[in-house]
Amino acid sequence: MDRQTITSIFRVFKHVEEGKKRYVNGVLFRVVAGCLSISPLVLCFYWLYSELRTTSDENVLFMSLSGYLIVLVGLFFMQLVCAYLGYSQSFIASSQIIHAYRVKLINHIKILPLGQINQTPNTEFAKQINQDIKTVEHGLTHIVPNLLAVFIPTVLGVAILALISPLYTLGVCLSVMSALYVMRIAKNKFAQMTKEKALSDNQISRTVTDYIEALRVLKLFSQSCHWLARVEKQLKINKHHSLQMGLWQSSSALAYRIALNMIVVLFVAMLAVTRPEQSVLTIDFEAIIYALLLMQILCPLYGIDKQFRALRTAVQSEQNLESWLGKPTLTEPVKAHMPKRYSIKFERVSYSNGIDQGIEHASFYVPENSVTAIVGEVGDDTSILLKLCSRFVEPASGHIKIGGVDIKDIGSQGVFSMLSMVLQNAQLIDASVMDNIRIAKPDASNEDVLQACEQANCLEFINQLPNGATTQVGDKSIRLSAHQRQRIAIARAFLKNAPIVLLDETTTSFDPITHNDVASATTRLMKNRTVVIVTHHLSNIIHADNILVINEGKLVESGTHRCLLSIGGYYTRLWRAQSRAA
Amino acid sequence: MRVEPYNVEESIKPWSVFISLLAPCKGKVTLVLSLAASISLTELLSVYLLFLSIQTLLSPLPSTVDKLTWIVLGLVGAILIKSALSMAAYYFSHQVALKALTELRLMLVNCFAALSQKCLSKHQPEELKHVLIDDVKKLEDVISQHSVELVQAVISCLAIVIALYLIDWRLALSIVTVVSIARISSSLFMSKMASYQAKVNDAETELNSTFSDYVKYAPLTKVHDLDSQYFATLGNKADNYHDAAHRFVEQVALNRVLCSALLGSSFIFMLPTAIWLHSAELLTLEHVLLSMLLVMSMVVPILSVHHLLEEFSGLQDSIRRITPWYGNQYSLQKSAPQAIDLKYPQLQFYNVGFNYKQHAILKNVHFELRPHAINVVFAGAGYGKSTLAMLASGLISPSSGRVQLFGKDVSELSDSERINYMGVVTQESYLFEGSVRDNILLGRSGVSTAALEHAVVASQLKPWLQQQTNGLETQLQTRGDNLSRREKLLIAIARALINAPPLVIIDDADLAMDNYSHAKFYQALKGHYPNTTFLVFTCTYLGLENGQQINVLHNGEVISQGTHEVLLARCDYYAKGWQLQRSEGTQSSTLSTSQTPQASYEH
Repeated sequence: MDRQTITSIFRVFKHVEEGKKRYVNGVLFRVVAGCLSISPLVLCFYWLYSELRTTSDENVLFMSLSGYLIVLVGLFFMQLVCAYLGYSQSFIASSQIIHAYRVKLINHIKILPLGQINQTPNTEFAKQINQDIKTVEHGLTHIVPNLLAVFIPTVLGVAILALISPLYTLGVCLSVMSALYVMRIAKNKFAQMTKEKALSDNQISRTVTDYIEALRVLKLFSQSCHWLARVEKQLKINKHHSLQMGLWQSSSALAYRIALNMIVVLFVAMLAVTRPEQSVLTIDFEAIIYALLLMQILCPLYGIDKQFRALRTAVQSEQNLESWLGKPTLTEPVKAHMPKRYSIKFERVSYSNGIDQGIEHASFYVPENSVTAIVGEVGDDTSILLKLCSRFVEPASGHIKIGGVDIKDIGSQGVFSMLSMVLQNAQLIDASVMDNIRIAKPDASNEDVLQACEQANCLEFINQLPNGATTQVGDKSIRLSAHQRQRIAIARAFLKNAPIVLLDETTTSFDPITHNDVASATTRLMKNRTVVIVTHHLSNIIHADNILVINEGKLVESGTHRCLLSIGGYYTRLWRAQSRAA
Repeated sequence: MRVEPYNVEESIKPWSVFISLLAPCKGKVTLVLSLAASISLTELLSVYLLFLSIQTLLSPLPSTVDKLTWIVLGLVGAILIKSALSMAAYYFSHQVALKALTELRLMLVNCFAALSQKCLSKHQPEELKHVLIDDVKKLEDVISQHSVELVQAVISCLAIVIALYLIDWRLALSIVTVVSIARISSSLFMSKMASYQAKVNDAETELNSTFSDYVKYAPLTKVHDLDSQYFATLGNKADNYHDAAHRFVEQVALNRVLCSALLGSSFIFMLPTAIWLHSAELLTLEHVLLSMLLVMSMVVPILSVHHLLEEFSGLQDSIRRITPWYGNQYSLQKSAPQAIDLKYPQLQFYNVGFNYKQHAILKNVHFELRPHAINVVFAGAGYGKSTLAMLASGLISPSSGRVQLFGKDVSELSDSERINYMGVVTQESYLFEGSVRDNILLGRSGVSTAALEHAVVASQLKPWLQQQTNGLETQLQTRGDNLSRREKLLIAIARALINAPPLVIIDDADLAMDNYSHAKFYQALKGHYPNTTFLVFTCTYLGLENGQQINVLHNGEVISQGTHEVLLARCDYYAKGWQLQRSEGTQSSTLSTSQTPQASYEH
């Protein structure tokens, strides 16, 4: 157990309230049980002692066979009780601790800015967190108590040994130390090895992924045999790596065991060395006891190297989770200031997630009930402005104001209540179409929902679904296509009837009729609302009141369509590129 | 001994798969087993040597020192031999494992390659990947490491029991009793534990999926102020899991305690027996000591057998997943071979219908392709266009009706037949890490430079390639992540054109025409490959004026057929869309023509 492990355990403890005391109790009981497991040996010595010295000593209490049996059974039950208490207390406590830890983590994730979570693909993020919690749980439940329950009795045993014979104990200490040292060296040395192995594993998994995902295409071109050879080659290389790695791993385990086994060798060697000094014909009682105790101490130490490895991964997982727990959360105001008007103002806003281009010092003003479009080339992440506006991410510097009030003072809930968002890849929950739209306004009547559908030009396709508006949709049942989902999102926006609308319609291309349906619904939605729209299709936004042009993270131009074309700058270039296409 | 691993293995069917996996390397497996046996024997030897040293202490003689020295040497020798043997055992076990499992992987990969397109559509790539990587990896760990340890531990136990039997049968009996009691009591609890375990697993998967859902839907729920509701469900799920885990953990604790305490306390039977035997003068003191040493050295192997058996039983799931593939069940069954007969139409849809979860996507689609021409299927987004494309290329089979290529069902085509008769461009054409050239050739040899150039020009890939400094050698990332969707599609089109098949099916063709003159796209296809029949799926009108055969797909039915002019006159749906498209086109083009001069004027 090194410092990292201890800090990890304490960090976990710091995050939880209940269960800590219980856990410590449990571990203590485990340790006591471990110590008790040495006790039969003590009895054994007692017997030996009485057996070997019957003639001379009067003080020795003679115990009958049944006496031994009773004492042994008594000890056994004590051990049983201690072990039971230890196991159940530590298990229950650690499940409590992990539960509290999980709840804390979930609560923290709840108040993280949405953009933070969405940086990694959703499913992977959730998977990683679950995996990490599980590893930490395993470490806390099994490994830490196990290691303590092995180590402390060992230390106790060594202490007893030291009382019996300090000289021999020196040997024991020496070889235990060297065994631990071997393990340490192995750990450092094989970090490198593990990395190489991980690389080769990665390679193989990439090849296999490639192969399986591409299988359909390969088969379409009747080329699967050719690729089989590739996979085969990769598998062979991986085989070589794995063999090497496996051997190194087992040899390190073996080295550890050899070092441990040296305890016995050293002991016998010392016997041989010290023997001549003693009187030749007395029985060396101490040495015999020593020999027996040695075995008892040695046994539990064998399995430790594996547990250390598991502990290390648990510590890594804990560090990963801690990094999430350490992420700054959104600050919410104590009392929300709701603005009276719905203009939007950006004041020198900068943001960067370190990967993409980000935004530098963007300042602009969106008057109430006007339409502002944001355009840029495909590489520019223009939709980040929408995310900033809706508090999905926090700006690194600068202020965003709605109706003159900073959105930090409005609070996330307040901001969300004022705006509707129609994003690319609108999400559906696993429910009926009706309920999917109703989430925008849970108390809306069926008529309201249907009216919203009509305004969003949804009714036509909804009526074609097998059960109309009550059809179950979502990932688990019928999947809707991109434009259908987008129209459902528009229907939600109609139902919510929020004063601000944020639209993100970048890449999707539809056939003219669908396009027209969606466009007319969108136009209807934009009426009498403050609208910010992000798009790559310039023909959609020629009527916008103001167009902001973003290039390489900077706001380069703004104005109406005609005005921008008259300048003949970056926007004109974009426009020409697109109209040549048409 | 009750702990015999092979009994367990044979009673459950998956283990037969496990054994047959190892069958090819029988020699090495026996070698590993015998090595493991000798390891446990040398281990016993070192215990015996320790005993000898104690013996010299019990009966001190003048020659003790010499004897002790010899014992030290013996011990060192035993340890070294043991290590060497284990190294060898691990070496061979790793070899066996890697050989067997590389073969297994290859077999699986081959098996997947032999799947028909229809079967392949049924299985998610993730599922196949999981079998191929994770499950096999688990098997590998077990065979290479745990098997040696298990065999070694079992043989150690057996040897110790035999040694005890040689000393006195009553000692052996007492040990066997303890071990059996431990096993029986733990197996009693095991059966109960299984149900708790199942409950915990259920609660856990539920919690995990709720958590993923929560994270996934966070943007939606937060904006609509439903967050707290979803969060409450998540909290409930976490509580459920906690409850289930709590109950499970109590059981586990009980099981662990019984098992480890009973196994660890072999003394409780052994010591009284030994003392009794000694007092009855059936056993010398030395033998008592020896038996104690033996019993102590038995604790570790017994515990490790217990743990390893748990590992082995955890393997069952993995093997169960592999089993269906192992039997080569999925090899193609040829049903009533229909021959390809050129007198039939090249590609024909006979009253094709397709349902997805009771939702009819296609109904009564009935048409045939006009040979050596461009056949267009025009459809709005989400009206079954991709489904029809997949049916045409045989990736799925229709729910009713038939799709036939020269009189043979397309979904029954073998890979080699398909490549001879058609080239297919699917919506998600997979691109590999490598150069553009490799991606187009896809490993096909004997393609002339002229043919490659031809395909590159016809697919409109040429202008893009000219922009790249490396041309055809431009490196792509996995899945072509460094390309736009259009560029990916163009590469896929070039890939399909390269061996000039008689039929080419292009799904989502409008993507390829983005930012490009649409008429030119069709002209290039026709001009470069006059003898090829094209089936092109599109949702834009651009470029359709040039006399292609157009099939209008609406709401899962082909509502009208003919050339552009005919359709304008006959089909209202088509005409309406055309009007809309034109008005938009003229709007933007008039604006651009009126604005552009002004812009240049200002400069």
